Amino acid sequence: MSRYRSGLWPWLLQRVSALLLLFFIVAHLWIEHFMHLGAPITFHSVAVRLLHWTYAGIDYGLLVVVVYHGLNGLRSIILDAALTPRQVRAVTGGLWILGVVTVIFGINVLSPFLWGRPWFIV
Amino acid sequence: MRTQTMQPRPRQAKDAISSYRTGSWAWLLHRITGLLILAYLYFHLIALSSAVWLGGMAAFNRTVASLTTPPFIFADLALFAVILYHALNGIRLMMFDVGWFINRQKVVFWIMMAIGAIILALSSAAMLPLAFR
Repeated sequence: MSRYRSGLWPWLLQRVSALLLLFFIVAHLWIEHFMHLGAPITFHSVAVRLLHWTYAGIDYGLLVVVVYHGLNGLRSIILDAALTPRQVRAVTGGLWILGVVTVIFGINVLSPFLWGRPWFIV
Repeated sequence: MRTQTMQPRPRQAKDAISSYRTGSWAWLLHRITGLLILAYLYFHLIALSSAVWLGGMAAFNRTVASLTTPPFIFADLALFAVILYHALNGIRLMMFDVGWFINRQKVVFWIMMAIGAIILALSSAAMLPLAFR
């Protein structure tokens, strides 16, 4: 029973996102750090790489999945405390807002490379 | 024969504490490494974005240059070790979810750690020459 303490869907999606992360993290680290080992990383080299949709897709996919996995994991740690159902709903809602904000922020991180300037500056 | 109906027990604060006592070190480390990676995610996004937004391309290049100095290459490898632990232990946990090697949990743990040590050694061999060139 305790393995479903966080709810069946959060439990299942934590596993699904974990499997996706195995692909995204390996791809991200290989592309950024090992594929062109020793070549200097510059704004220009990143912008050229991101012209290919596969690389941009891996970074955006990683962003969405890692934010879900990380904040869902944080939620299950928080839920180890004895919380009322109302408090659990507040935690869940707060983390969803944080997650959406983080994804929007993260999309904006790559935007200078993709079209020259950010959507917005925080 | 005495029959018991399964009643869900109300959850209490001591449940979390007792689970630390009975839970394994692997489980505790999984949570610690998870929190570290989540904290790094925010550092990663903020460090890379602020350079571009506030200072333009030249600022980005300066930031990346300073992040590829020896102290940060060592920090990267430490971060990589943390990620490797979390990933390999996570694979181990999911193997038990589907019933694989469920009676060999400790053995699988040390096999995973050996795999992680090998990956970390190979990655260090590739990365460290860059720190000292």
